[in-house]
Amino acid sequence: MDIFKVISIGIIGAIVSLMLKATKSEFSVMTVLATGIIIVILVLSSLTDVIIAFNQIVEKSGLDSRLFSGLLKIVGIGYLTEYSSSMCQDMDAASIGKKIQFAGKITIFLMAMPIITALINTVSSLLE
Amino acid sequence: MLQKTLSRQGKLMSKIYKWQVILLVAFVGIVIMFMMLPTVIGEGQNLADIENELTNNIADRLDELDLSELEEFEKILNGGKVYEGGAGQLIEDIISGRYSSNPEEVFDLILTLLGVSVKGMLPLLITLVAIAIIFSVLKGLSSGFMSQSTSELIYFVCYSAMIVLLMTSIAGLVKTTVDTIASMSKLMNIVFPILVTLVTSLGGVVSAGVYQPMMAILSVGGSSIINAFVLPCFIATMVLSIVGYISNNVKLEKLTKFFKTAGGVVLGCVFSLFMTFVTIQGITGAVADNISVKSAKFAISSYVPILGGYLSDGFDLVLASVVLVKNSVGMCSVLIMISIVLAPVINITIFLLGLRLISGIIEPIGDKRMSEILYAISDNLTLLIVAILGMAFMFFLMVGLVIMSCNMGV
Repeated sequence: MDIFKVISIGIIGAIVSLMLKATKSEFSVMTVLATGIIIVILVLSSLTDVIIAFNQIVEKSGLDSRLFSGLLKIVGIGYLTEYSSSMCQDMDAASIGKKIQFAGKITIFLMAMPIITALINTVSSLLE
Repeated sequence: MLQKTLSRQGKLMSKIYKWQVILLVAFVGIVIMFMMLPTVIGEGQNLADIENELTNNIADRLDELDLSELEEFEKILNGGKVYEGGAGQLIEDIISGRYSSNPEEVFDLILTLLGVSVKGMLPLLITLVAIAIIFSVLKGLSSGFMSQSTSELIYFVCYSAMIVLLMTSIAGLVKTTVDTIASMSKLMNIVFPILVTLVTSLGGVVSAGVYQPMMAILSVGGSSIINAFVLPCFIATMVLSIVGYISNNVKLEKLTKFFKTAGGVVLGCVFSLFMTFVTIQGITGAVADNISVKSAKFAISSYVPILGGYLSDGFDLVLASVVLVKNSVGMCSVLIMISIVLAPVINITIFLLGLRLISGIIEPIGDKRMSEILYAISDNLTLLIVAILGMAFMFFLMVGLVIMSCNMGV
């Protein structure tokens, strides 16, 4: 099971970073980062299964695939910003993390822009 | 000698009397026989004559009527699917009793219409459910996010996709409604001049005077009220519903309800006012016309010497043929109107039911607002159905009134 791997890697990483904190605190941060990256790599493979399942739903329903990819990008950007900002927090740079989140929000908004304009266009075409 | 001659004379006289009596009786008998003769022998012949005359009369009336516009309209409509031989043939068949609406056929037609609209609707419904599923999965994926705005944006994107998909169908429904109402008022414009002409030729001057302006009000006023007020109300409810369910903060439910009720109330007021007015006026007009026609008949039968009775009977016959033509034209127009109305009403109803079904399916999967917007849109769609059905009902009432009134000589 992947989840046991993830849990054990996470706990080992936490213990190692705790041990290193007393002797060499500059390596402790590296351990935290490395643990996070390993966990992401482990989970990434199962994420592809989710995306394939999604694709099947979209194909069966005949939805526009652009909509789906846009949604997926939004979620992905959300994940990435969340992850990197929490990494920044680990490195005691919470303000940088906040800025990353801010950038992420703007990017997400830009991604949603075409759909928002489509909605506005339909509403305005109704009113005409 | 004298006595002898007298008695002989008496005998002769009595013989003559006897002959006279016999002759008289024979004469009376013959006269009675002759009087009976035509009624006994001519009964069958007369009936056939009357029927012949009636059919000839009807054929004349039909020839005199200008049905070309009606025929053309029927041909354009559904590619002439209302009746095989066209409108004129339909009218003739209704008169002669050949036309029979086969219930099985009608049922089949309704079933195929249902099937077509359900099939047309299915892809949209499946897509809506798929969007709701995708939304719920993505929402689950992003629920751990610290910032709530990402999941809100995902909702917004899914919602927009839903609305864009729905609106293309709804714009089509609005267009069908407008088209249906326009073709209904066109049908009225074609049929009512014919009917009014027939009513006038039946002596229904008062009725014709009532029907003419009523028809104008109905065909112009009814459709313009629907186009100018009810449809904008419908679009306003749509836009307000769409905007109202974008976020949790903006609530426009009451405003939406206001526009919906406003449209419904105006429609209801117009319909009920029109109906009351038409019914009362039509009935009183019909009574007045009945009296005038009856007095004309009475005048003919009593003031025209000798021939008066025959003339008033012939009058009846002519009237009967016109009444038959009038009623069958009315019947034909009702059939055409049903064929206009049936498909859009079934289509919109199926759309409405489908939306409600999807709103029920989505409720446990997706966001609460998603199922609510679908339900709100389906609620708004009733306005379109009411508009079409109300217009059709007013038309039906008018035609029914024309059919029921001025049935002189029948």
